[in-house]
Order: sequence, then C-alpha cells, then structure tokens
Amino acid sequence: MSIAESFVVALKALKKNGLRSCLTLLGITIGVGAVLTMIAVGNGARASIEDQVTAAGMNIITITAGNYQMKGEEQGGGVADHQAAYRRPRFREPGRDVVAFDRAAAPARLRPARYDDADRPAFRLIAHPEDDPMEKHNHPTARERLGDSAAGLGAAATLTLDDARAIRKAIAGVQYVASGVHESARVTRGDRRWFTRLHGTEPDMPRIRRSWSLAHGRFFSDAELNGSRQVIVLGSIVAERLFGAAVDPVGDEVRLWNQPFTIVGVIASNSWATAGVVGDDQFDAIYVPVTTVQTLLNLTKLNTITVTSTSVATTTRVSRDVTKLLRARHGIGEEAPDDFVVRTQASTALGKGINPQIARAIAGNVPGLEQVTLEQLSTTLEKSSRTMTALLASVAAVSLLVGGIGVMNIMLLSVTERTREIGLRMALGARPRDVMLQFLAEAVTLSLAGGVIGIFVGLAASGGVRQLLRWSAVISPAAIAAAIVVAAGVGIFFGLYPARQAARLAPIDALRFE
Amino acid sequence: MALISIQNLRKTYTIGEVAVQALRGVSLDIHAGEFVSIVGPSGSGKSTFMHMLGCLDRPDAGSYLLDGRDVSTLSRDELARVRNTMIGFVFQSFNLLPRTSALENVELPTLYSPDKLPAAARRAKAMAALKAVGLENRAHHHPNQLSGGQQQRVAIARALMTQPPILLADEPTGNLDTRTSIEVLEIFQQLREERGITVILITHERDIAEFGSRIVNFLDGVIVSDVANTSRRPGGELAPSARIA
Ligand SMILES: Nc1ncnc2c1ncn2[C@@H]1O[C@H](COP(=O)(O)OP(=O)(O)O)[C@@H](O)[C@H]1O
Ligand SMILES: [Mg+2]
Repeated sequence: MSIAESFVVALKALKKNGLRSCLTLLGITIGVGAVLTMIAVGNGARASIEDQVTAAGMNIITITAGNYQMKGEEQGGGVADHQAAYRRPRFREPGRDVVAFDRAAAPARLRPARYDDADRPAFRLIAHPEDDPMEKHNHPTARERLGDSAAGLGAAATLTLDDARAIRKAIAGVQYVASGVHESARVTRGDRRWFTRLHGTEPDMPRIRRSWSLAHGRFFSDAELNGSRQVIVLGSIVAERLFGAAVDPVGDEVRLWNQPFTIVGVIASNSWATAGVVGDDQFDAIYVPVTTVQTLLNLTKLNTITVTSTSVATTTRVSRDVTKLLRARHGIGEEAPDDFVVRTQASTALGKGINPQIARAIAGNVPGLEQVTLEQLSTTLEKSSRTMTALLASVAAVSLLVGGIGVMNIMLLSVTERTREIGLRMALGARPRDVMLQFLAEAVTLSLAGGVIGIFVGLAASGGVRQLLRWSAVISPAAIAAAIVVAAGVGIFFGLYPARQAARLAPIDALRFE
Repeated sequence: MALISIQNLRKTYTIGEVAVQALRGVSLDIHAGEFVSIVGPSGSGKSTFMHMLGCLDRPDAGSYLLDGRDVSTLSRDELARVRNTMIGFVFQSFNLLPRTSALENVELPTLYSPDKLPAAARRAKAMAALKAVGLENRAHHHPNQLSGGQQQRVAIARALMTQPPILLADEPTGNLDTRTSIEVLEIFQQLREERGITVILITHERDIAEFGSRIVNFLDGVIVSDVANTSRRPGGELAPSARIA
C-alpha cells in the first residue's frame, strides 16, 4: 500500500467517526492557533516597541557642516570618531569648570551669539559661531555662511549634495537621506508677511519626521526637486498666519525672495502633544526643494544632511560609516579632525536644556555614551519582548501538547476498537508496515487538518488582536510553514505508538479479538 | 506433487494451568482442484487447522509445505504476501468492514497486492467479481443493508479478487438458512469446476459436507477418517486423489 493510498484509507476511516475526529483535531487546532497567535502578538509587541523608538527619532543621524575643534585637540580613532572633537577639553580649574574657556582668546565675533554676555565664559572655537547647529534663529545670510570660498576646517561649507548621494548609495542600513540648507526668510502673501525658518530639503523629509502628517496637499516630489521648481510646503503655523486657520492654501501662491512659489502642501503635527507653536522650527517653517534654494541663492554647499538608519540598533554603526565615508570624500588625513559633526538623536537629547557647549563636552567626555543609550535601550527592549514571546508561545505550546495527547488517546482507542478490522486486513494480505502506515496516516491527517484549521484560527485571532488592540500582530509565512511541520510532527510523534501496537498484532489474535 | 502437504501438525493452547491440545499430529495432502470438506464436532480442532492452512497462525510442531514452500521459514511480510496471493478466506461471520460499501469491501485485498493496480482498474475488477456472485446491483450497499446470503457472496467475491488458487471457508453457512447455504455451496462448486480453485470447506453439518469431493473427519485434534465422497450432490466430478486415510 502506497503512502497516498494510506491517506485515502485514513481519510475514509476518519470520516466514519466524523464527530470524534473533529473533536480530536480541535485539540490540535486550538494548540496551533494559540501558538501562532501568541508568537504574532509577541512579535507585534516587539515591532511596536521598535516603531515607537524610531518614531521618537532614535534612528535619526544629523550631519552638520563645520566643526568646533578645540585648540591642540588631536583626532582620535574608534567608535565615536565624530565625538573626538569634543574629547578632553582643557580644564583650567579642574573640579569647578566643566568647559574650558579663554575669554581673552575669544573675540566678540567668535562668541556664540546667545552667550554673548561678557560674564559668560567663551568657548575657544575654530569655527564660525553662526554655524552652531544648536542655534536656530539668528544665522547670517546663506551666502555669507555657505560661500564656496569658506570651505575648510572649522568653516561651514563642507557638505555637498554629492556627499548626500554618496551616503545614500554607499552605506548599508541607511533608510532615508535628506540634504538641508537652513535659512531665515520672510514669506509674504499679499499684505500678510511672516518671518520664519526656511528649510531647503528633499522629498524624504516627511518620512524622516514621523511626527508629521500632511494637513493639506502633499510634500514636493523628486521631479520638483530635480527640476529646482519653485514649490513650497508650509508648516501649519505659517499657513495659519498667512491664510488663517482651517483654510486649504494648496494651489495658492506665496512670495519668497521676491519670487512666486506655488503651495503644494501643508504639514502639521500628527499628535496634539507635539502641536506646532510659533518659533518651533518645524511647523513654524517653510519647506522648499534644496536645489531651488541653491539655484536662487547661488549656493553649492549644504548646512546639514539628515540620515535615518533602518533600525535603532544600527544607528551607531551607520553614523560611524558616515564619518568614515565623509572623511575619505573630504580627503581628511589621519591626524586632522573632521570638518563636519555627526550627531545622533540620543546625543541631541542628552544636550537638551543644557548649554550646548556643556552638552558637547559631556558627550565628548563620555566615550560611547550615546552608543550605550541607543543600543542598550534597543537590545534591552528587544530582549524583553523576545522573552515575552517565548513565554506566551510556551504556554500555548502546552495546549498543543494536550492536543497531541488527545490524538494519541483516540488512536489507541481506535486501534482497540478496530482490532478485528486489523486482523481482517492482515488475513487479506496487509503487511505489518501497511497497518502501521494506515494508523500513522490517520494520526497525521488528524493533526495536519487540525494544524491547517489552527493556522486560519491563528490568522483570525491575530487579525482580531490587530483590530481591537491596534497592535501589529502579524503571522509570517515562515511561522505558517513551521506550524504545518510541527502539526505533522505532533501527528507522527503521538501516532507512532498506537500504530506500532496495531502493526505488532498477530493476525489470528486480531481476527478473533472480541 | 500436492498443493498442500501437511505432516504431523501439532498445536497446544495454554490458558493458565490448562493446556488444550487442539491439534495432535495431523497429516494431510491436498491436491490442486480438490473440494475437501472437513467435518467434526465442535471443538475438534477444525478452525485451528484452518488457521494453520491460511498462514494466520504457526503450529507448535510439524511441517506445512504450501506449493512446495516450507511456510515455517517465511517472515511476517512473506506470510502476508502468501495470504494475499494464494489464499482466499470466507468466514462464518462474513467479516465485512462495517459502514463500507460492498464494492470497497471487495476491493480490499487488491490494496495489498504486489501488482500495484491503479484505482480505476481495482474498481473495475471488484465490480466484475461482484457480478460473478450476482450482486452488481448491490455494489454501493453497506453490509447492514444486505441479507446474510448477500453478505457471504460479497465475502466470496472479496476472497476471489486476487485470483488465489485456494479458497478456505470456515463454517461459511453457519449463519445462513438452508436455501442460501445451498446457493453459496453451489458457487464453490462452480468455482472449482470453472476456475480449478481448490476449495477447503469446514463445517460441522454432515449434509453440507456432502458438497465436497472428499470428506475429512476430525475428532479431538486428529483425523479419524478421510474418504472420497461418492454420494455427492450434483455439480462436481469425483476427486482424483480420494483415498482412505
Ligand atoms: N485461542 C485459543 N486459546 C485457547 N484455546 C483455544 C483457542 N482456540 C481454540 N482453542 C481450543 O482448541 C480446541 C479446538 O478449537 P477449534 O479449532 O476452534 O475447534 P472447532 O473449530 O472444530 O470447533 C477447542 O477445545 C478450543 O477450546
Ligand atoms: Mg470452528
């Protein structure tokens, strides 16, 4: 008897005891369904944690042109190259001052504007103070800062569109890249005018800023970027100031640098918690293709490049690769410091609310601080959600075990009930292996059918979880394949003993059994 | 050479302290084409003997040559093959699978036959076998929808599916009335005449035994007489090897 024939015979036998077969496979159905659902829920938890972490911008890397190298500072290697510039500041009065300063050495024009106070310590910088990436609203004109002549160490103009393209192309694990030129600008509509922040950027920006939603229209496209078109996306605050609340300005025109710009969209916050406010740099801002800004202002350089990594865990690695790539592209020698600053969101977060220079000093003096922050956070979350998945799945696996025992129980009962049938089949020429195959096929059919139904139950249940809990509980094709294999395995494991019992019967004893 | 050659066969059943000698040295030769009736009182060892003949059980002692092969040397798989290809069984209690159509019951032996027939061919063959016993219009009936005589005819059709040279029937008429008994026995005679099948019929009823060409008498596990049957009912001819033991 072939295996296919065994399954035909098994199916007929199971049909004869329809209700009993259904109840038995129900055990397997519940087991497989529960295991699949639990794995899906566990993985969903993991995905949603990862989601929230990336939504918080933990995977964002910002590259700013220029560097604030302290005098006598040498470039170090290792994991936090981009932080080396801040390492080991000179302490004049150890224990009292955290940041080295030299009032005499800092002429007024080099002092950061915000801390222009004569009583405040001046940081000794080899940089244009206006290029401080933490400073938002008081930049001089772009031409002044970004003029090609100003390129070089400590100067701002070191990043180009080609750098951004190279990062996009050459570095693995990069998700989105957006180059940026940042300006202050006056935007007018008729007699209404608003002084705000202008960002020359790229179409990937709304994907990087996960807290954005489009209130109206769309963000500008690749075609508009490549064509340096005069299109503009308004922040919700700007749109409100120029057009009034709840007005859709898409298609309308505003003027910027005395040029007409067509409004293609309005961006707003997707959460009341981070709603736009005046002066916030995101929603009190306007967005124009970076190429348009470069063309109109006759620029070739960038202020920033914003990069996201595909996962939080790889952020540090990507930022390191970016440093390496840019150093190579800018032809910076071993000893020379970076002419750019690579920061991750964590280092920015660390510095929130602290004097930017102090923040830099902290970041620079605690090597790998942000690496710890990012990767530990990410792996800890990952680990705990993995443990949770394993726990849920093993509890569910117990029900699968119970289902398997149910199959064994029914098969043993069936062998006893059908002893005469076994004897008859043997009298008609069935070999022990034929009998064995027949009962094994019955057990496997039961558990496989249970498993397949269980897969549908699992799909439905995880769909329900998705609907009710808004939790991404997804069953992967691999999990489905594994479920089928496990179900068949359960059938073989729990069917083997009853099938062997049947096969070992002596023909005459089986035939005369009562 | 005899189709079946049995020498000094012994079988003892032991239940607890009690040992029952069911067969106490049985010797018998049966030639191809014979119709042998085995008679004897209940408990005389007829069924035990038939289980040995049908390779369903092994004797404690003695030899059994089937078609020249020593059965005691065969493995379980080889015995299964012998049962499948050489022997057709007909039981007193019919032994049809319940809740299974007559057709599927008849097909059963071909499921295990070495020549792997496709399902359609098996079905056709089973239908032909049912037709041979006059039950083609009952093919899709389940056993509980058939009379005793019809059930036994289905069992005969099943026994003939693999075209075995030997038909073993243990009290085939035990559960049938006289008229259907005669029908069944006439089928046996017909099979022997038309196909040359060797029929071994076990019965405790003298007049049923009269259908055979040779009558072997069992008593307490031994053969007490073995005679050619001259007063036979119509249908057959005299057995060529009838002799007195
Ligand atoms: N499986 C068995 N276990 C124990 N004793 C048995 C068994 N089969 C048969 N016997 C005994 O062997 C003897 C012969 O039985 P059997 O061959 O069935 O007789 P018959 O078929 O002629 O009526 C009987 O005494 C019976 O009790
Ligand atoms: Mg008997």
